[in-house]
Amino acid sequence: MTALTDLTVHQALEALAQGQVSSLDLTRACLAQIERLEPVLHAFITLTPERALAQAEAADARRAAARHHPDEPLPPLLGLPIAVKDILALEGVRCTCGSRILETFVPPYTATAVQRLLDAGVVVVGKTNTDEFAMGSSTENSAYGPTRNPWDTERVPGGSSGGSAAAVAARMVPAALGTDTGGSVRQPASFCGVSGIKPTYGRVSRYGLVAYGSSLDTAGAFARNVADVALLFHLMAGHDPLDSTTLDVPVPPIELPAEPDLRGLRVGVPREYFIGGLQPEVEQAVRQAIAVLEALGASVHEVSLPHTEYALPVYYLIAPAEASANLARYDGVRYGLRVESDALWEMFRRTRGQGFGAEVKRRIMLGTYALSAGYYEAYYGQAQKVRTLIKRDFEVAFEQVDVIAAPVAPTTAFRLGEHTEDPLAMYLEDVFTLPTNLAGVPGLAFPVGLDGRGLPIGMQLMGPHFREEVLFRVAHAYQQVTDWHLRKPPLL
Amino acid sequence: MEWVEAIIGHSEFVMLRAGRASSPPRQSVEDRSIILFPAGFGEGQVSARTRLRAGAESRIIAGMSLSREEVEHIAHLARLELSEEEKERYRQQLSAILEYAARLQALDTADIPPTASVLPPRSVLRPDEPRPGLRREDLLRNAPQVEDGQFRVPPVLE
Repeated sequence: MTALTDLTVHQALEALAQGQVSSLDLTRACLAQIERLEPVLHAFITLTPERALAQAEAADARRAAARHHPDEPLPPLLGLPIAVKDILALEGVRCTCGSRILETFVPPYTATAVQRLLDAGVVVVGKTNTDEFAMGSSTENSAYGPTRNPWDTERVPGGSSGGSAAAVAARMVPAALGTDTGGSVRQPASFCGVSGIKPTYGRVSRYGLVAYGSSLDTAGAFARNVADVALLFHLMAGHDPLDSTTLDVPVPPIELPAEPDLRGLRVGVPREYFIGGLQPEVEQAVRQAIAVLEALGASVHEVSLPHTEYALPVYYLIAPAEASANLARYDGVRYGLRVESDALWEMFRRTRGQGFGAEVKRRIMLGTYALSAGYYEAYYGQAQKVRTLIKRDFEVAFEQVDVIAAPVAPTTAFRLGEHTEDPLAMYLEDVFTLPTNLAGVPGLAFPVGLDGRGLPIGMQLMGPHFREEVLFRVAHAYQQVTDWHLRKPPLL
Repeated sequence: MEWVEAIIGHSEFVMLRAGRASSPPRQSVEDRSIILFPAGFGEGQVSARTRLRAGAESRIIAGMSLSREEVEHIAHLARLELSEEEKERYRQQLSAILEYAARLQALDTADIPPTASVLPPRSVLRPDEPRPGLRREDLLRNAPQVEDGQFRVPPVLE
């Protein structure tokens, strides 16, 4: 029999439904795997074993009771262990956001995305590591130490949701939640060889997602195949009265056909994503994956997203500008760290100066500058206008094609410390993931190969607003005829 | 009309700032305060475009280099205590990032509306009905200092 930790979400749910395993078995297996690998990988900031085991026991009891009432439907994820990025609030469990400033913060409420999965029956085993306030591309900016990539522990797992991606890749959990403001689900999914969705902006509630860039933040999910991701996504999505930016549009069930058939599908390949600096093996693997889609019946068309090169400077003005406003709330008054002083303004300065890490301070400084008198129009104003051009690029492209296929990141996982001295080099890692956040369109990342060092290569599919189901359908067809998503890190 | 020569230095872009360096730059679109030109623009070309977009009394400064005083001013606005070493590091790093960001100025966006949100504009008002919120004691539990059911802070005024 397959090891319990190797079960996918669908397999685990099937085994639970058949009574072959209990939630307690699954949860204990996850906790044991975490205990074994956590000293090496450091994927978690906070573990919640007692809470998880209690939830698992309750799930098993509910399933047992339901045997006497076979007509009453059970919650769809009843007893499934998952992990949650430490940016999403879970009532009663501290939420650090990877920051010293929130080291002791225990949220009095639960994020809607998490609550919907709890309502669906999940068991939460812990809160995963993240770059501080989700600002980073390597999880090295966590105040609690970096997470390591299960494929090569000298390398980063990507970021900012690196803890969630590493936990899923290392079979610590079958699925995990992340957030994606500029690539923070897709890039770690790519680096760790797992699948992950960045939903359409407005699709999944941001209530309880600790704000970084409010016009860009999205809550997404990781698993080891896209069918599993689709299941979680479908349960998380939908209008939430607590988040005015969620749209009241239907969330249709995601139908994944049993037969891989992509006839009639138009796949766009943006020429601006195949440029100098792209690791040759990444280009080769992505082009091969596109050829697989073509072999399944899709037609492939070159498209142009002409303003792609401007996404990076636009993002690194808009996101820090929004962050500088959002992070003004950390002032030592209502929650988190306070560095005492006998004057209020001095208390603010010291608390923030000592509570925030280097990258967060850098982005607050950058955003404050971009919004300051005399520079607002030239930096922030101009960035917002170019954002319009980037959004229009996608609108034009999606008149010609149904999905766009491209690399997730220019390279495979880099070494710890490789980019920490040069913030701009680190920002360049996000060059292919930022445009989707700026345009608000969905993106789905999944593995399409390994490079010469045995490191995973990811491809992303991008689609029009609210058309996630097309991305899942295409990627699922790909995973039905390939086995990259089944590869395991040598560590295991 | 007085034009200061264009200083085309090592950086990819040069910067033009309207008005005297010590005065705050102006902000309107028509009278844009900051215009950047790709490196390679000659003095004559800069002057021609400058006349169109920036008006008189313009001068060109090379690159995008923040001063120590500017870094301290931003840190003050952001209420961030920075060490001397941090100030110098952020001065250099922010200068490099802003110089990179300056390439946006090369795009003509005169007729392009800004995007603040990708969502369609719509009303999100709900009926104003009282309903229970989070409990006071739950919210105060995370506070560093509490007194009489309220957040306690150091003196605001001396």
